[in-house]
Amino acid sequence: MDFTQTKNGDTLIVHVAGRLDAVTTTEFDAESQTWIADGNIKVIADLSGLEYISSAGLRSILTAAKQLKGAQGSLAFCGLSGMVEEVFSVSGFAAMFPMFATVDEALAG
Amino acid sequence: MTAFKATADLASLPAIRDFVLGKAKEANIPITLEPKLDLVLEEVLVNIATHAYEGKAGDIEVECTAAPDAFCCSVRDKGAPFNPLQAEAPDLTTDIDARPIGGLGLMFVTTMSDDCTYTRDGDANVLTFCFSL
Repeated sequence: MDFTQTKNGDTLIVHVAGRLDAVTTTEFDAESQTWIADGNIKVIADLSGLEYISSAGLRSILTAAKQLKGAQGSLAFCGLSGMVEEVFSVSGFAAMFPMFATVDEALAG
Repeated sequence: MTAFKATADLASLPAIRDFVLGKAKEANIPITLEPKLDLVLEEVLVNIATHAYEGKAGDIEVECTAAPDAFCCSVRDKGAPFNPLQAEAPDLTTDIDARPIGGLGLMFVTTMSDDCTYTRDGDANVLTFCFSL
Protein backbone atom coordinates (compact mmCIF):
# COMPACT_ATOMS: atom_id res chain seq x y z
CA MET A 1 0.00 0.00 0.00
CA ASP A 2 1.01 3.62 -0.50
CA PHE A 3 0.14 6.53 1.77
CA THR A 4 0.76 10.20 0.96
CA GLN A 5 0.00 12.80 3.61
CA THR A 6 -0.79 16.46 2.96
CA LYS A 7 -1.96 19.08 5.44
CA ASN A 8 -4.65 21.74 4.97
CA GLY A 9 -4.98 23.94 8.07
CA ASP A 10 -5.57 21.55 10.95
CA THR A 11 -6.84 18.78 8.67
CA LEU A 12 -4.65 15.86 7.62
CA ILE A 13 -5.39 14.50 4.15
CA VAL A 14 -4.18 10.96 3.55
CA HIS A 15 -4.17 9.62 0.01
CA VAL A 16 -4.49 5.84 0.23
CA ALA A 17 -3.50 3.67 -2.73
CA GLY A 18 -3.30 -0.05 -3.43
CA ARG A 19 -5.13 -3.00 -1.84
CA LEU A 20 -6.44 -2.97 1.73
CA ASP A 21 -6.87 -6.67 2.45
CA ALA A 22 -6.11 -9.21 5.19
CA VAL A 23 -2.46 -9.25 4.14
CA THR A 24 -1.91 -5.46 4.04
CA THR A 25 -4.02 -4.26 6.99
CA THR A 26 -0.89 -4.11 9.16
CA GLU A 27 0.42 -1.38 6.81
CA PHE A 28 -2.80 0.62 7.24
CA ASP A 29 -2.72 0.11 11.02
CA ALA A 30 0.87 1.38 11.18
CA GLU A 31 -0.11 4.41 9.07
CA SER A 32 -3.18 5.30 11.13
CA GLN A 33 -1.19 5.03 14.37
CA THR A 34 0.96 7.94 13.15
CA TRP A 35 -2.07 10.24 12.76
CA ILE A 36 -2.88 10.68 16.44
CA ALA A 37 0.76 10.21 17.45
CA ASP A 38 1.60 13.27 15.31
CA GLY A 39 -1.27 15.26 16.81
CA ASN A 40 -3.63 14.94 13.84
CA ILE A 41 -7.21 14.21 14.88
CA LYS A 42 -9.10 15.67 11.90
CA VAL A 43 -8.44 13.29 9.04
CA ILE A 44 -9.74 13.01 5.49
CA ALA A 45 -8.90 9.71 3.79
CA ASP A 46 -8.82 10.07 -0.01
CA LEU A 47 -9.56 6.57 -1.32
CA SER A 48 -9.46 7.44 -5.04
CA GLY A 49 -6.30 5.33 -5.41
CA LEU A 50 -7.68 2.37 -3.44
CA GLU A 51 -8.42 -0.55 -5.78
CA TYR A 52 -9.75 -3.09 -3.31
CA ILE A 53 -10.96 -3.41 0.27
CA SER A 54 -12.22 -6.39 2.30
CA SER A 55 -13.78 -6.78 5.74
CA ALA A 56 -10.24 -6.90 7.16
CA GLY A 57 -9.71 -3.41 5.72
CA LEU A 58 -12.99 -2.15 7.18
CA ARG A 59 -11.89 -3.53 10.54
CA SER A 60 -8.74 -1.39 10.42
CA ILE A 61 -10.70 1.68 9.34
CA LEU A 62 -13.22 1.27 12.17
CA THR A 63 -10.42 0.82 14.71
CA ALA A 64 -8.79 4.06 13.52
CA ALA A 65 -12.16 5.87 13.52
CA LYS A 66 -12.90 4.84 17.11
CA GLN A 67 -9.47 6.10 18.20
CA LEU A 68 -9.93 9.43 16.42
CA LYS A 69 -13.40 9.86 17.87
CA GLY A 70 -12.07 9.02 21.35
CA ALA A 71 -9.55 11.86 20.86
CA GLN A 72 -12.41 14.27 19.91
CA GLY A 73 -11.33 14.01 16.26
CA SER A 74 -13.03 12.90 13.08
CA LEU A 75 -12.53 10.76 10.00
CA ALA A 76 -14.14 11.50 6.62
CA PHE A 77 -13.77 9.79 3.25
CA CYS A 78 -13.70 10.89 -0.37
CA GLY A 79 -12.95 9.56 -3.83
CA LEU A 80 -14.56 6.12 -3.50
CA SER A 81 -15.41 4.23 -6.68
CA GLY A 82 -16.05 0.73 -7.98
CA MET A 83 -15.95 -2.16 -5.52
CA VAL A 84 -14.62 0.07 -2.71
CA GLU A 85 -17.76 2.20 -2.95
CA GLU A 86 -19.93 -0.93 -3.05
CA VAL A 87 -18.25 -2.43 0.03
CA PHE A 88 -18.76 0.85 1.96
CA SER A 89 -22.40 0.88 0.90
CA VAL A 90 -23.23 -2.78 1.63
CA SER A 91 -21.52 -2.67 5.04
CA GLY A 92 -23.28 0.50 6.19
CA PHE A 93 -19.92 2.31 6.44
CA ALA A 94 -21.12 4.87 3.86
CA ALA A 95 -23.89 5.86 6.28
CA MET A 96 -21.62 5.83 9.33
CA PHE A 97 -18.98 8.26 8.02
CA PRO A 98 -19.08 11.64 6.26
CA MET A 99 -18.60 10.79 2.56
CA PHE A 100 -17.58 13.22 -0.19
CA ALA A 101 -16.80 13.02 -3.90
CA THR A 102 -13.55 14.98 -3.76
CA VAL A 103 -10.94 16.27 -1.28
CA ASP A 104 -12.13 19.84 -1.87
CA GLU A 105 -15.71 18.95 -0.99
CA ALA A 106 -14.52 17.07 2.10
CA LEU A 107 -12.51 20.14 3.21
CA ALA A 108 -15.57 22.34 2.71
CA GLY A 109 -17.46 19.86 4.91
CA MET B 1 -10.43 -30.54 -12.75
CA THR B 2 -7.44 -29.55 -10.63
CA ALA B 3 -7.64 -28.65 -6.98
CA PHE B 4 -5.26 -26.22 -5.35
CA LYS B 5 -4.10 -27.16 -1.86
CA ALA B 6 -2.40 -24.89 0.64
CA THR B 7 -1.88 -24.57 4.38
CA ALA B 8 -4.73 -22.80 6.19
CA ASP B 9 -2.99 -19.56 7.11
CA LEU B 10 -3.00 -15.96 5.91
CA ALA B 11 0.35 -16.45 4.14
CA SER B 12 -1.38 -18.80 1.66
CA LEU B 13 -3.85 -16.14 0.54
CA PRO B 14 -1.85 -14.63 -2.35
CA ALA B 15 -1.10 -18.05 -3.91
CA ILE B 16 -4.73 -19.21 -3.69
CA ARG B 17 -5.87 -15.86 -5.07
CA ASP B 18 -3.49 -16.22 -8.04
CA PHE B 19 -4.86 -19.72 -8.71
CA VAL B 20 -8.54 -18.69 -8.60
CA LEU B 21 -8.17 -15.42 -10.52
CA GLY B 22 -6.12 -17.32 -13.10
CA LYS B 23 -8.97 -19.83 -13.52
CA ALA B 24 -11.44 -16.94 -13.76
CA LYS B 25 -9.37 -15.34 -16.53
CA GLU B 26 -9.24 -18.66 -18.43
CA ALA B 27 -13.04 -18.76 -18.14
CA ASN B 28 -13.27 -15.20 -19.49
CA ILE B 29 -15.41 -13.91 -16.63
CA PRO B 30 -16.41 -10.24 -17.05
CA ILE B 31 -13.83 -7.82 -15.64
CA THR B 32 -16.52 -6.31 -13.40
CA LEU B 33 -16.96 -9.64 -11.58
CA GLU B 34 -13.31 -10.02 -10.67
CA PRO B 35 -13.29 -7.74 -7.60
CA LYS B 36 -16.37 -9.51 -6.20
CA LEU B 37 -14.80 -12.92 -6.72
CA ASP B 38 -11.61 -11.58 -5.14
CA LEU B 39 -13.56 -10.30 -2.11
CA VAL B 40 -15.73 -13.38 -1.52
CA LEU B 41 -12.69 -15.65 -1.86
CA GLU B 42 -10.69 -13.58 0.65
CA GLU B 43 -13.51 -13.58 3.20
CA VAL B 44 -13.97 -17.36 2.95
CA LEU B 45 -10.23 -18.03 3.21
CA VAL B 46 -9.65 -15.61 6.09
CA ASN B 47 -12.50 -17.21 8.01
CA ILE B 48 -10.97 -20.68 7.56
CA ALA B 49 -7.42 -19.51 8.26
CA THR B 50 -8.57 -17.74 11.44
CA HIS B 51 -11.14 -20.15 12.88
CA ALA B 52 -11.36 -23.59 11.22
CA TYR B 53 -8.46 -25.37 12.89
CA GLU B 54 -8.51 -23.49 16.21
CA GLY B 55 -4.79 -22.69 16.08
CA LYS B 56 -3.72 -26.15 14.84
CA ALA B 57 -2.27 -26.77 11.38
CA GLY B 58 -4.60 -27.76 8.55
CA ASP B 59 -5.20 -27.46 4.84
CA ILE B 60 -7.43 -25.50 2.49
CA GLU B 61 -8.41 -27.00 -0.87
CA VAL B 62 -9.85 -24.89 -3.65
CA GLU B 63 -11.49 -26.01 -6.89
CA CYS B 64 -12.97 -23.87 -9.67
CA THR B 65 -15.58 -24.86 -12.21
CA ALA B 66 -16.53 -22.80 -15.23
CA ALA B 67 -19.85 -23.35 -16.98
CA PRO B 68 -21.40 -21.19 -19.70
CA ASP B 69 -23.76 -19.57 -17.18
CA ALA B 70 -21.69 -19.51 -13.97
CA PHE B 71 -18.21 -19.50 -12.49
CA CYS B 72 -18.02 -21.40 -9.19
CA CYS B 73 -15.43 -21.91 -6.52
CA SER B 74 -15.49 -24.67 -3.89
CA VAL B 75 -13.41 -24.26 -0.76
CA ARG B 76 -12.84 -27.25 1.50
CA ASP B 77 -11.42 -27.47 5.02
CA LYS B 78 -11.31 -30.24 7.60
CA GLY B 79 -12.02 -28.12 10.64
CA ALA B 80 -14.93 -28.42 13.03
CA PRO B 81 -18.35 -28.43 11.33
CA PHE B 82 -19.29 -24.82 10.56
CA ASN B 83 -21.93 -23.50 8.20
CA PRO B 84 -20.92 -19.91 7.40
CA LEU B 85 -24.29 -19.30 5.74
CA GLN B 86 -25.94 -19.51 9.15
CA ALA B 87 -23.74 -16.83 10.74
CA GLU B 88 -25.66 -14.11 12.55
CA ALA B 89 -26.26 -11.02 10.40
CA PRO B 90 -24.46 -7.95 11.75
CA ASP B 91 -26.33 -4.76 12.70
CA LEU B 92 -25.35 -2.28 9.97
CA THR B 93 -27.21 0.72 11.35
CA THR B 94 -25.15 1.61 14.44
CA ASP B 95 -22.83 4.61 14.81
CA ILE B 96 -19.02 4.45 15.14
CA ASP B 97 -19.10 4.03 18.93
CA ALA B 98 -21.62 1.18 18.95
CA ARG B 99 -20.32 -0.63 15.87
CA PRO B 100 -18.51 -3.84 16.86
CA ILE B 101 -15.12 -4.53 15.26
CA GLY B 102 -15.56 -7.36 12.74
CA GLY B 103 -18.46 -9.59 11.74
CA LEU B 104 -18.77 -8.32 8.16
CA GLY B 105 -16.76 -10.92 6.25
CA LEU B 106 -19.37 -13.66 6.04
CA MET B 107 -22.03 -11.11 5.14
CA PHE B 108 -19.96 -10.17 2.06
CA VAL B 109 -19.80 -13.86 1.06
CA THR B 110 -23.58 -14.04 0.71
CA THR B 111 -24.27 -10.50 -0.54
CA MET B 112 -21.53 -10.34 -3.18
CA SER B 113 -21.93 -13.84 -4.68
CA ASP B 114 -24.97 -14.91 -6.68
CA ASP B 115 -25.33 -18.33 -5.11
CA CYS B 116 -23.81 -19.97 -2.06
CA THR B 117 -24.14 -23.52 -0.76
CA TYR B 118 -22.65 -25.31 2.23
CA THR B 119 -22.30 -29.06 2.71
CA ARG B 120 -20.62 -31.16 5.36
CA ASP B 121 -18.88 -33.87 3.35
CA GLY B 122 -17.57 -36.53 5.74
CA ASP B 123 -14.98 -34.73 7.86
CA ALA B 124 -14.89 -31.66 5.60
CA ASN B 125 -16.71 -28.34 5.31
CA VAL B 126 -17.37 -27.49 1.67
CA LEU B 127 -18.50 -24.00 0.76
CA THR B 128 -19.32 -23.35 -2.90
CA PHE B 129 -19.94 -19.83 -4.16
CA CYS B 130 -20.98 -18.97 -7.69
CA PHE B 131 -21.16 -15.92 -9.92
CA SER B 132 -23.68 -15.80 -12.74
CA LEU B 133 -22.22 -15.04 -16.16
